[in-house]
Formats: sequence, C-alpha cells, structure tokens
Amino acid sequence: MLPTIYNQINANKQKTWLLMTGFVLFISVAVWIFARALEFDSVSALSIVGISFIVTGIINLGSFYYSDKIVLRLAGAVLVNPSENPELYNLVEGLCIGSGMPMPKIYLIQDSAPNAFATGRNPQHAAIAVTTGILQKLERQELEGVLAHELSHIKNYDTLYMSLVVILVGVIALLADIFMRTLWYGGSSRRSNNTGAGSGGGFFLLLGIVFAVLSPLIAQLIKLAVSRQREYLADASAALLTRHPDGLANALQKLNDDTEALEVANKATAHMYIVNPLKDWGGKLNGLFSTHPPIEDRIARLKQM
Amino acid sequence: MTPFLIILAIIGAILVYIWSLYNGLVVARKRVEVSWKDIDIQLKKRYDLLPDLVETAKKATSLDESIFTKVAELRSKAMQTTSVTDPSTRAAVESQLSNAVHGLQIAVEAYPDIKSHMELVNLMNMNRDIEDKIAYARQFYNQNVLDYNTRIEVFPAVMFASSMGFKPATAFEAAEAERVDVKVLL
Repeated sequence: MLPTIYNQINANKQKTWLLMTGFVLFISVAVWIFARALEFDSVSALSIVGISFIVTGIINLGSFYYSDKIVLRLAGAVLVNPSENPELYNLVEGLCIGSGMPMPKIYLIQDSAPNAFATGRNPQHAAIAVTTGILQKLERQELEGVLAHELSHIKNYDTLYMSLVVILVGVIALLADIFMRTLWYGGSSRRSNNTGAGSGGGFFLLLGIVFAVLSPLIAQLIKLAVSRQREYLADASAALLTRHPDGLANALQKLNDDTEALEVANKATAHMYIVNPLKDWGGKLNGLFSTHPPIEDRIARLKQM
Repeated sequence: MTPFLIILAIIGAILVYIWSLYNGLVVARKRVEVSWKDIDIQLKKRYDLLPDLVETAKKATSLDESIFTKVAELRSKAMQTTSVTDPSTRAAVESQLSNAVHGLQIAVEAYPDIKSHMELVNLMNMNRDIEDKIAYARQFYNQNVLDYNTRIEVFPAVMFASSMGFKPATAFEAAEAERVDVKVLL
C-alpha cells in the first residue's frame, strides 16, 4: 500500500491503539498471575488493582495539570508577545487557522542549540517553546514544518495520551511492588477462606516473581514504543497541515547534523523535544529505549509522502 | 429476554444510531459555514492592506503603472463579489486578485535596492503573511467541505441526507490552476 499521509496517520492511530490495548491486557495478565501466586480471590485482586489505579492517577494528576508550567520553568522559557517576534507569531497563527485550533502561548528559550517542544493538556491550554538557535538556523518553511509538528502534538492530545501511559506504567510498577512485598512479608493473613486458587501454587509463584521483576521494564518499553508512534503521527499530521513534507524533512536533517546539546534539557524533559536534545547516541539497543524514532527513518517517511 | 424486548432494543439502537448520524451531519455542516466566514476575515484583511502596499510601492519604485492598476481593479472587482454566496465564483475572482498581487510581489522584489526601503519591506512581509493565512483558511475550509460531502455520500447516510435537507457544499476552488509555489526572499 502506498504510504500516503492519510494511510500513515491511520496506521499510527491503529498502532497506538494496539499498544494501549496490549498494555491493558499485559496488566490484566500480570494481575491474574500475581493473584494466583498469592492465592487471592478475584475480588481482592480487583480491588487492589482499582486502588492502584486511583493512587497512581492522583499522583500523576498534578503533573498532568501543571506539566506545561513545570516544563517551561525548567527550560527557562520566556513568553513571547506578537510584536517581539512577528514572523514566528504569524507562522503559528497561519498554522492554527489551517488546523482550526486556538493560538497556543509562544515561548522562547535562549540557547543556540536548535530545538522546540509543545506542551499542554488540551488545545485551549497549550504552549509551544522554541530556542533562539532554531529561529536562526532554519529557513522559513523548515521552521513552519517544525511548528506544525509541535502543533500536531497539541492537536492529537499527546500530553494527555502520554500521561495515561505513564499512569499505566505506574500502576504496573506499583502492583509488582505490592506483589513482591506481600510475598516477602508473608501473605497468609490475606488468604481467602474457601475460594483460593490453590493448585499449582509453586509454578504461579515463580511466574509471579518473573513478572514482578520484568513488568516494570516491559511497561517502560511499551511506553517508549507509544512515544515513538506519536512522534511519527505528529510528523504525518504536520505534513498534512502544511502540504509540504519537505519543509519538516529538511528541518529534521539540519537538526540531526547539528551536534550541539541543549543545555536546559535533561533526561526528564528530553522526550518532549522534537529531536532528542541529549545527543548521547550509539548502538541498536538504544532504539528500543528511545523516546524518538531514528531521524533517518522520520526523514525517509516524510520524503515518501 | 422475550423476543419483544429484543426487537425493542434493536429498534432503540437503530434510532440512537440515526440520531448520532444526524447530529454528526449538522456539526459537519456548521464547520463548513464557520470556516467559510473565516476565509472572509482573511480576505478582508487583504483588501485593507492592498491600497497601502500599492501606494508605497508606487512611490518607492518606478515600475510600470499597469501592474498597480491591475491590482486596484481586481481588488474592486473582488470587493463587489463579497455578497456572492457561491464559493467557486468568489474563488475565481479572488484567485485573479492573488495572481495580480503575486505579480506585484515578484516585480517589487526584483527591483534594485528595495531592501533599504523599510516601510515597503514591512508591507511586503505583511502581504506575504496575509497570503499565507488566506491559503490556510482556504485549505481548512476545503477540508471541512470534503469531510461534510463524504459524510452525506457514504452509506447509510446517503439514503436520507438530501431528504433531511443536507445539500453538498462547494469547495473554494477556481477552475484554473492558481496556486503557485513561491519562495519569497526578502
């Protein structure tokens, strides 16, 4: 099938949906194994899962609501008003008209490393930040491509999406933790009266331990896979918006060739930028652990549109 | 579950489906209407800017009068058609104006020493921004038209869309090709 923009967007959405379903199934299987290993009945097991969701949800709610302010503060971003930078403002305004979105707040980061990010829980509470470096180093159409990519993240509700994924990761980590602690401190006081799973206890115990150790890792891998899919989706959405995939492709090429690391970025915020700002690359295994797809891949897909 | 209840449930489900289909069509049509008005806003900004741009360019350059008069004439013509509701008629008129403004843009840029004339450079930048926004507004409108027209043509909506009063919308497109790829270097 020809990789048109629409096909790519559909494929991305499908893959995201598959990953999320897989994630939920994975959690369900893990919970079931834990419950069997500890000989819980299903009601207790479900209530523990429910509580884990609520606790993790509450913990992450704050970060979800204030994520934009926190990240902008961390990056030392300064609010830009239209008269200070009319070209940037007009580019964003044009893109918002083209996608039917309200204008986000625009921020500037003083750094010669070219990069940009978008944040905000929905289009009405959104912000885009760009470095002074990217304003200097990119041509107008390349900058437009980058801005379209960032706006697409907002339009696709990616902050909300990744928050949900983070909650799922948190839940599985919490459950694995609870499981191991229950094992360690003895679970006899929690055994149900007569409906215990009983048979094959040893096997499930072993499986449970394996799951408890591996599941946080697997959850992280799923989260990173979702992050990569959403990056591809933002690329495709940007191409559809600007009708000019070459703009973004050329921008990505320039960003890739630039070897300067962004000073204000660190491991916690790295995933939000358009290209990985930390520049500490190497090795194929890195691919699975990275928040962004390889740039050559992204450029190749854009050139095919 | 008696057969009667099952049939009732099925009928209920069908009614809910038709209800959501109808509302979806209404929303799609509203989007078309609103984005049409947004094109108008951008076009009006262009009408407001052009006299200034033409006057300043006339004073700063010694280009042929015909370029300027053409822009002025087509601008008047476009402003007279603002009340026309048919998008393709307006698109034809507006694209003629776009072409003329385009020609003016290229001629001014090619003029020697133009970058020293700050006021003209400023107006040319504003013109470029407005042209971009008109293009984006048009693109968004046409996307909404595509979405709405698709929704009333697919099955099963196609069976009752026109009887419910949903007529196809027209895209904002002129017959002749007018979208030229421009790299404005100023």
